[in-house]
Amino acid sequence: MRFLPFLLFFMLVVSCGPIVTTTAISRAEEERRTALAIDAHIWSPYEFTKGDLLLSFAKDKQGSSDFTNARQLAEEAQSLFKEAKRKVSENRVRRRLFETLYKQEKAQ
Amino acid sequence: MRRWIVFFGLMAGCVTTSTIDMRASKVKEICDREHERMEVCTPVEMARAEAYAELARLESRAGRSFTAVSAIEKAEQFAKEAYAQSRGKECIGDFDGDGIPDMKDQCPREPEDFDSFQDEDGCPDLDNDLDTIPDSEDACPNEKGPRSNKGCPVKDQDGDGIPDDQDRCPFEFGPIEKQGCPLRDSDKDGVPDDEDQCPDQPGPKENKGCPYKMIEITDTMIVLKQKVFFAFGKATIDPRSYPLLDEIAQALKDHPTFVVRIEGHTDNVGSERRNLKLSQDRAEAVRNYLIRKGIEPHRLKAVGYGESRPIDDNSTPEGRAVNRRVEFHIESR
Repeated sequence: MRFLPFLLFFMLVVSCGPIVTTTAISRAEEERRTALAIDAHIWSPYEFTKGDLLLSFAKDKQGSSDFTNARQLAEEAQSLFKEAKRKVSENRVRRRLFETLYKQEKAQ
Repeated sequence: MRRWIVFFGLMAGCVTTSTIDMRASKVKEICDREHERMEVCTPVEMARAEAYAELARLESRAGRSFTAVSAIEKAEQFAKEAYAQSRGKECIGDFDGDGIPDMKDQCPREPEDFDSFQDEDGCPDLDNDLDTIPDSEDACPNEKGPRSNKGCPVKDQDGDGIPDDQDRCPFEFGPIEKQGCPLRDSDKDGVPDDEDQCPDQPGPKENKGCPYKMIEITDTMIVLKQKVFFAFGKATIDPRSYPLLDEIAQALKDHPTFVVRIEGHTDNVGSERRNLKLSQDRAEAVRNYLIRKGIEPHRLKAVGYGESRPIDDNSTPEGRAVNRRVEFHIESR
């Protein structure tokens, strides 16, 4: 009973890495889910694909208890998903414009 | 077969972190260099190449050579594919042919005019400075200016705050009241010509730029260029000296802080006592005259010294004439 506080402290320290990593991965997954909902994989394929791969690497790393790298990868993935979402509307407008332009060009 | 496995295992073990890093850097470099083309044509391959290169780096740093090698090989493979497939002309996607890829071109229909003004946006800038004068007609396309000045800003070359087109003297500093022309001071007495009643003769500001004719003000005295004349043996001022005393009165008005000691002096003819009284009376007479001319009494002190302070030889008529005098000493300024 005397060692209970120390034990709790030890457990807290030990569980810090996994908790932080799991949080980072969850956040990245949430970003991915919202990005996917607006078709970011179609309109921002570069950012989405890279984010997707990094997220899967992060999960692998977490599985092999490499929490530092897992968290770093998850955070990078999260920012890529954010960037993908940001670019969706911009790319959508551009793509449509280009399609129209190229169609007109071909018609000429 | 086992031998080969052992051999490859050893070889893989030899692959150092720096080699993996080098290969990963190469992949990253290709992706960065060709980013625009690849983003249009092979975004997925580029993304994979970069992601695997990053993984390879992490794995090699963690000492997992096998996984690192496998990852870097994948990265290189994807980079190769991305590069090869992005070589086509269509990957540039440059509809207006201005060399700026459509993905980056804010005006994909209009070619950039490359006039060294915001050339990166892909939009032609027909009026860079937005002064409503087209650059083709604007002599200063990057500086706002009115049409009357061919689109160039109206300058203020003398820095007097008056634009050159409104400045009568654009190269000389001058106040707005003078339409930008400097205040001239021909006699260099510090009084501008337009305020100087004697623009060609230096004179104090207090005397409107004109010199005092009959007096000169030094640090300690008002020096008289002529004598104050009195009636013989009396303290009555000779009218000849009125102009001189009038100028002294003017100087005292011009310098309102001056406090002056008026000294009366005589020669040695006659008794000393009488001379002392005469000099005092004459000094008083001058003081009274100045008071009548509007000088405040407290600024004037009258002192008679009689024959006690000669400045010349009392044995000659000329010397005695010099000794009979009135002096003005400035006690405070």
